[in-house]
Parts: sequence; C-alpha cells; structure tokens
Amino acid sequence: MTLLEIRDLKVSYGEREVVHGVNLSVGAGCRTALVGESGSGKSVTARAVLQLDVAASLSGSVSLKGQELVGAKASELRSVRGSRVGLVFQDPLTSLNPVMTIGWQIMQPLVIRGVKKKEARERGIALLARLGVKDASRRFDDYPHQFSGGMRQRVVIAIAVIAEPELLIADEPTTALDVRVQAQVLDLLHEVAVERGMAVLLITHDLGVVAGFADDVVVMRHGRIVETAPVAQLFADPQHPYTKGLLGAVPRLDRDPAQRLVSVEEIEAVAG
Amino acid sequence: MNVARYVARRLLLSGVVFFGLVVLAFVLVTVLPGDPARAAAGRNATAAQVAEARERLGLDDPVLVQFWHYLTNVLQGDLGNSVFTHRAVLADIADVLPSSLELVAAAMLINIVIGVPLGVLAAYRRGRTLDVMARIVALLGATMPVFWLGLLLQLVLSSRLGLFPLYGQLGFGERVPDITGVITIDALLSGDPALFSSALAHLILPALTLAASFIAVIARTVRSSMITSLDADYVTLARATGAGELRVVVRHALRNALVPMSTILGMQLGWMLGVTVLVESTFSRQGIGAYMVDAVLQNDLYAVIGSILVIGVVFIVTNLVVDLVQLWINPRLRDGLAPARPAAPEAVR
Repeated sequence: MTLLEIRDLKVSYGEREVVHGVNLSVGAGCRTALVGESGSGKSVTARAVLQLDVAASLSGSVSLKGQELVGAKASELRSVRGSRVGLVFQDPLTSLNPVMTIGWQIMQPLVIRGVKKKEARERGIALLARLGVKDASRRFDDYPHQFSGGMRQRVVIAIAVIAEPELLIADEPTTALDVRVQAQVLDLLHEVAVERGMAVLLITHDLGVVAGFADDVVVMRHGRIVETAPVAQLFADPQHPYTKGLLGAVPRLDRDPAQRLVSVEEIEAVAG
Repeated sequence: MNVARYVARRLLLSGVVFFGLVVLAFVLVTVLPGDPARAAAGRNATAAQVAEARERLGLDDPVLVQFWHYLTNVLQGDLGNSVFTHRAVLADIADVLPSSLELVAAAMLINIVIGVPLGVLAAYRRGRTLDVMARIVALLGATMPVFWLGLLLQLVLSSRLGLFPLYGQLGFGERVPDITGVITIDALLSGDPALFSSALAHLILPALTLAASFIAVIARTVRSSMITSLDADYVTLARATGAGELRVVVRHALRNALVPMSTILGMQLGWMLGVTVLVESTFSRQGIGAYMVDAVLQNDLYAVIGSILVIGVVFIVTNLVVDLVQLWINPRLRDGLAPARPAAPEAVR
C-alpha cells in the first residue's frame, strides 16, 4: 500500500525552479532512500512534504494516504506534522533548542496534542531508553550541550517518532556524526522503523549508507529523478549512466587499489 | 562548583568596577576647579578660616593619604556634605532617589511592553511593511533629543489636548504620606484612588519621554536575535512536530533571544538613570537627575560626585543582577561553556 505519493512535484524559489516534476512513492512501512549529490534537489523534495520552507512554492501533488498536502490549509498541515510525518535533520547540534531540557523537547509533540505531562514524561523516558540513552530518567532533564553528537541525534529521533508518525523523513541523519556513531544511529533508525511499522524516507549522498538500510532507492540529479529501483537491483545492475558513475565513485576494499575512483567530471561526461 | 565560581567572579568584578568608580570620583574632586576648603568654609570666610578648613579636611595631606580617607569615607557612606543644603550628600540623595527609581521603573516597563513585541513582530515579518514601519518608529524615537521630545509631548498632549498634567508629580495642593518616597506607591498606600490616579497621570509623560530613545535599541536587539533564532534548525523542527506559531515564536525563539535581551535591558537601566538628568528638569520632577543639575549649577562639588557615585553603584548592581538572571536563563552558562556575557548585537549604541 502506498503511503506517500508524490506526482509531478515542482518546487521553485521565486523565478528559479529547482525541482522539475518529480514522481516518487513510499510504501507503508517501507524504507526508501533518496540519493543524489549536493544540490540535486533531494532535500528540497523531501521537505516539500511538510512544507516548512515558506519561501518555496510548490505545484503538482503530494498525497499522504490520499490526503492532498499541496495547497492544504495551515491547520491541516499542522495536524500532519509530527503526528503523521516526523522529521530528523542533519546536525543534532543545531536541531535541539539549547535553552530547553531535552525532556521538555521530547515531550512537546505529545503535550501539544493534549497528552498529560506525567504520561508524556513516562513515554518520553521509555522511548529515550529504547533509543539507547543510558540512565534515561536521570538524563531527561539535562540540556542538549550535556550530550555528545550521537546521543543528541538519538534525542532528535525521539522527538521525531514519539507521536508515532507513519512516515519519518530523515535528512542526512548521520552526516554530521563520526563514522562509528553513524552506523549505530542508522541501525537504531532501522530497528525503530521496523518495530513501529514506520516508513522512512532517507535522504543521503552516501551510497554506502543505503545498501544495508533501504528497500528501494531513488536517484536524483539536477532536480529530476534518473532511476528508481529496489536496492539489490540498483547495486547489481544500475541502468542509468549517472547511477553507474555514482557507484563507481564509492571506494571499495575489493577493487584494484591502483585504479583511481571515478571523478565527478567523468560522471558528468558519461551521464551528459 | 561552577555556579559558585561564576557568582564569586562576578562579585569580585563588581568590586573592581566600584573601586575604579571611587578612583574616578576622587580624581574629579581633586582636579575640578573650585576649592573644597573654600566651599566648606563658606563664601565669606577669611583666609584663616579657609586654611583651618583645609587642615580639618586633610587637604594638605599627600594625595594617597587623601585618597585613603576618601575611600574609607565612601565605604562608610560618607559622600561629603552639600554646601547648598548643608546636609550629608547621601541623605540628600536618599530623599530624591526613590522618585528617580520610580521614573526609571515606569520607563523600563514602557520600554519592555512596547520594544520587545515590536522587535518580535519586526523579526517575524521581516522585510514586510510592519518591519519597515517599526524601524521608522524606532528610529524616530532614538534620534529625537530627549528634552525636545519632552517639550513636544508637553505642548501637544498636555497643553493643547489636556490629556496629561504639564509637570510636577502631583496636582496643586495634593500631598501623599511619606512612606516609601515613591509617590505612586505612597498614593496607593494612602488609599485615595483619586490621589493615585493623579500620581500615575503625572508619571506617564516623563516615563514615555525617558523610554522613547531606549525602545529603538531594545526593539533592534530583539529583532536581530529573534531573526537568528527563527532561522535556527530547532525552530524548523519545532514546527515539524506540529507546534503552533505562537508556541514556536514564544517558547522557542523568544526564549533563546532572552539572553542577549537581558544584557541590553540591564545596561539600559543604568543609562536611564543617567538620562533622568534631562527628563526630571523638563518635567520639574524631584529626583537624582534634578538634584545633579542643581548641584552643577551651584558648584556643589560633593553633591555632583556623590550623585555620580550613586548612579554608578546602581549601574553595578543592575549588571550584577543581570549576570545572575543569565545564570538562570542560559543553561550553558551554568556549565561554564558559553561566554560569560554574549557579545552584544549590532543595535547597541
């Protein structure tokens, strides 16, 4: 069953169109990776779902289980945000409010939906513990600066999933973390998504991240989608020259070390 | 303990600033024209009487000894005597200071009630009509000389329209019991509503005049720090959780903007006390500003310097209070991670 259906989505900033008619769908409970270089329009596409950027103007269709979001009223969008679609950003340092306790921020999505403080607190602590924060009940009233980067990103994930959304949009959730922590956070995201039957739209420029995580991969370039395929198929038999180029740019242990990686210029030349 | 160390550091710094203030005051006493011995002995004193006063005041002692005497006197609350009122300067100031604090408190209230929302709205609607309007209003308030604005308000609102009393602190023949020295509070305590509303009416115009130039500064400060907060990822993420705009603006953005805001408000409180010099004269109010103006005109050296010292002490105390408030509103400070005082944004004069 399709959860998120994006049809012919165009996004412009003023006169400049940056996403030119994208089609994309995410099935319920599926993990889809949206891949591309910086500036390919992948973040803009994903963020168009929640319409948090007031400067962007949208056309086309974004529907969540049949509910059309493009042109929806502010109140409709607000009821979608958090409770049906959660969001995780790249940098956990700037994603958390520095003057509020992490507990307050985790409880917020529940509190604004009328859940009692006491219950929200219990659920928040349980979730934080599930996400691997040790001593969750004691650390609940700490401030963001008292946490490390990886722990902060767990807090951000807790905020995004506490109201049990059907879809989580994770915009480069591990890019700002160091490599060891990256894998932990991705695994955790994977586990939580499976446990809750939550679909994930993972935005990344890192194909290495995609392989173990996603069911489907969507490759974007210059504001257009160039290839959509199940993850195994994409890695085994990439169709589009650009995808081949991208895969060639990933460093691998089993490749002849004397051979140079494919450069962006070479990808550009092949893909046209 | 980080907090204890921070507080100790602030207290120590306040002490250093106070010492600097006393040094400055002492230098002023020594170098300013006018002979304290002559002033103390009186206008018609003979040369012998002046010499006797000089001896009595210790003015023949070495400078360092004189400074030591001055410092110990100040620490004991002895700021010298006024040659005009023939009373201790501190007693004079204690009589007039409550009235100035009342004026400053009222102006600060107006400053916050108008300036902060103006800055928030300007940031929220940046680049739009409301932002431009707010900037123009703020600029007008900031660039208008205080005494001139005071006269203008008196002319239009009092003299022409009769909305407010022209000057003074109470109507003709009205009196309040001397309880706190703050006229509005004393009027309230007297239990006479008419008296209270009269005291309040007399307070509004001077407070508005005093606040005008400060509103612009706080509005610009709030605007620039609100723009930073509103653009921050945590604000976008708060929206992404479904939080309403009011919650996003107040609980997330404004809560963060409080840190630079409190720094500026603290400084403004001290400046305001200085600006009372202009406002109290314009509106014929009692207060430390008016007292200082009289003292200057009468060459009353100790009164002038005493007033400066007292204003300086109020400044030091408010800044100390701001430092402690920051400890409360900025959790990073408690762990010693943030700079002790965030750099003031561009709008500071």
